[in-house]
Amino acid sequence: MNDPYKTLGVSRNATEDEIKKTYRELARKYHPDNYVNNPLADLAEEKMKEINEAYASLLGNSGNNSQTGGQQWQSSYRPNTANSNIYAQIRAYISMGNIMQAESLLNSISDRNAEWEFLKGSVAYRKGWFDEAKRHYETACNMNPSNMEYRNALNYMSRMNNTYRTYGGPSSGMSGCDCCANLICADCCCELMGGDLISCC
Amino acid sequence: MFGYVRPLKTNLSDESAARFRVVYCGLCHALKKRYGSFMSLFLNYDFTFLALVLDSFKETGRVCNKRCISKPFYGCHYREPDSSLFLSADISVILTYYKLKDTVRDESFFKSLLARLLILIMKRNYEKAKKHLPEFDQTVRIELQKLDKIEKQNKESIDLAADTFALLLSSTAKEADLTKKNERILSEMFYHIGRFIYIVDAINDLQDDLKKKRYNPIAARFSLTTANLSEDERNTLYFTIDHSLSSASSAFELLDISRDRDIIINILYFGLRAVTAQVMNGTWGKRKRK
Repeated sequence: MNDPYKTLGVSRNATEDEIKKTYRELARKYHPDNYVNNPLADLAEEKMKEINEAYASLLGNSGNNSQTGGQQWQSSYRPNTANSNIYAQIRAYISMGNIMQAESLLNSISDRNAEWEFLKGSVAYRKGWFDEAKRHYETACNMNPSNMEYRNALNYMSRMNNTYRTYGGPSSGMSGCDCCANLICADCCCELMGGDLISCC
Repeated sequence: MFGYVRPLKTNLSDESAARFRVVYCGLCHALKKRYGSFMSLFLNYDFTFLALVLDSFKETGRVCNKRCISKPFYGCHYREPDSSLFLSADISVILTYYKLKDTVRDESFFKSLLARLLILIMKRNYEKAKKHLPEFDQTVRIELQKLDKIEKQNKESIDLAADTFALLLSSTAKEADLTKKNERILSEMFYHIGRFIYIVDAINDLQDDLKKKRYNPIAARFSLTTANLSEDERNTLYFTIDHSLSSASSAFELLDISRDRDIIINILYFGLRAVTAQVMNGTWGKRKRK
């Protein structure tokens, strides 16, 4: 096993509080919810596991944030249309990372509903084609405004942009207030997507 | 490439600024050593970023001091050219060559005279770089041919057009001697940096392209006839650029590097955003012309 101090990036004489603080920062950074539908999601998960193990070996418990995985494509979700089987298949391809197959199946469908738009957006997203991803997600949301999965995908993009933009705060150094607000906001988003950042709320 | 990838100097510590300079001068020396003084004229920040990232995997590296044209009296401290700096130098020679070719194709005969002359002078250097990186040269050729087709068909997808340059930059990760994991991460990170460069450059060229009736993905995407972007269009562009920068940063956080984290963080989180703002409000070109 790797040196837990090195994994967490703390000195050997760090106090318990320092270790906890660093752990919380790292757990926030590598949380699977920051790598949803991301080609590097498996590496982020691996990293999170290493951090959890290092924290557990230093402080004796596994921390609050032990995560087994991020938001995955829920194959249990079955749209009630004639194409539901093919859509389930496309979802399976996306979750396996087989984007080319998913895309060619999508292109073979002529009846394009909200689910089609959402999956087309997901495929574009995985490729890094973010302008098209956003447009397809928006169309999916407009076609089926009550679907939370579609809405979450769109909100996720805005949330990641906000996290990126607020890095280090406006004049470097995030105030305590912003940090808490962001954390609570992130927690709410995570809960919507099935994860949890602050375990007590 | 075009010099968009740079740190935000005001947020950089003196120590980090000095280190950035050491890599910059190191790349300059690598170009001179392998390709002669003439090629060092094409040195820019984008390639320095490439060299910096590739060098960040190594824990140490020799720094030398030598006088040069820009520092004739005291000399400059520079990173002694090694594999990562030579690789950046090779890549910069290949991309500079194709950029000049592009200028020749886009501009009128008289306006492109200088570019034609430069191509003649650097042809041998390009051939040499191509020998070092045959696969990369092939990728550049293929992606630029794809872009050429997209331009001719006046495609309205920013993503489709940006994908070519993004893939081209992403392929540089294969050339570095890295672990499989780091190569995968770097390839993803460079894809998004490449996408950023392409889109920002398209915004910067918008006015000029419209005037000369050349293809511009931003103009095609919004069916523009003038270079004035509406609030909605600006927000759409900011959204997509920010998401690429966010993805590049998320990828970077996974990379196992040994040093220079603060400079790379500065570039990814502050430098590139500052450049985007400058290009968006039209102050980028002015600054360069001064």
